[in-house]
Amino acid sequence: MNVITDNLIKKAGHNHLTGEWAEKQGYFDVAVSRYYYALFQKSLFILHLKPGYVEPGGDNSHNDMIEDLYQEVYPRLNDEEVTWLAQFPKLKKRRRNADYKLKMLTKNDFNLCFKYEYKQIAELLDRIIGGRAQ
Amino acid sequence: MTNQITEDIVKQFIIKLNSQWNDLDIEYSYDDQEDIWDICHFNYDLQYNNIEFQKSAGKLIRTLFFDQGIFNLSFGYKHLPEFSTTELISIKPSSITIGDSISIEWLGGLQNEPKSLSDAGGRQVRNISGYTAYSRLLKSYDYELGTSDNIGTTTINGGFEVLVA
Repeated sequence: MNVITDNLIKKAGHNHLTGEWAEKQGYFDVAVSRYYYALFQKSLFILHLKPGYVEPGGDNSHNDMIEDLYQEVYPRLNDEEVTWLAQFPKLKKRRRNADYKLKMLTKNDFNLCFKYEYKQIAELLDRIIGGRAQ
Repeated sequence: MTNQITEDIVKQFIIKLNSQWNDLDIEYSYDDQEDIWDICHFNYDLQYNNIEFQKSAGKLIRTLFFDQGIFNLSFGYKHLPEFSTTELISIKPSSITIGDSISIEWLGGLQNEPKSLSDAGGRQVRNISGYTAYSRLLKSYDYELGTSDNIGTTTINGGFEVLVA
């Protein structure tokens, strides 16, 4: 492990905290965006544990990263965790909508279309990371 | 690009899941731009509160997709976004009025959609097909989209969830 990859965990922690703050303020679109990036950075951290991992580039880089994550971690997941993880692309889409679409998320939408999925995926990523993500 | 072999596997996944939960409505689509198969259903309780469902779905995802090297997949509960009837326009047959709560079942049962502004009382209407396009149970209807802080939750047939004003 090196400082650079450890920084991903720090950034993920900062994004999670910012997401919590935004959620408490009722800024649900901001919360979605920050929470998503917390997951994204934790995922990159896990992938960088693999020697020589090269981050995907291009227009579909987030989807490609999620696919890399699936491939890397699914053998270590319980069956129910595979179901949880398979929601990741949906959260990516939510993040894009939260950032760029005109409609604003309400608390109900946030709770029903993002929050629970986020917690499930964060929980399994934290387990894989082994307590580093604080 | 869509792939017939993968689509067949998607169908197989749905059939196997439906063999255990036969009233579960599952839909799928392929997003050409994102190169991803999006499989979704509308049962919140199964997705989040039923560990047997989570285990079964996960086992199928593992064996049918991941073990076969297929990773461009999304699976989960699809939340139908909220809408308001605050600006609802009276339509034929009219059994609801402005401000009423309406259900997915009601939407699904609606036969006569307004074809013109005059049918809709001469008022400007916008279509919520973006809302309804996700489900084959739904059609396109003419309502005024809006938002409201006064939102409630209705569960239909133990599965479909819609937020109404």
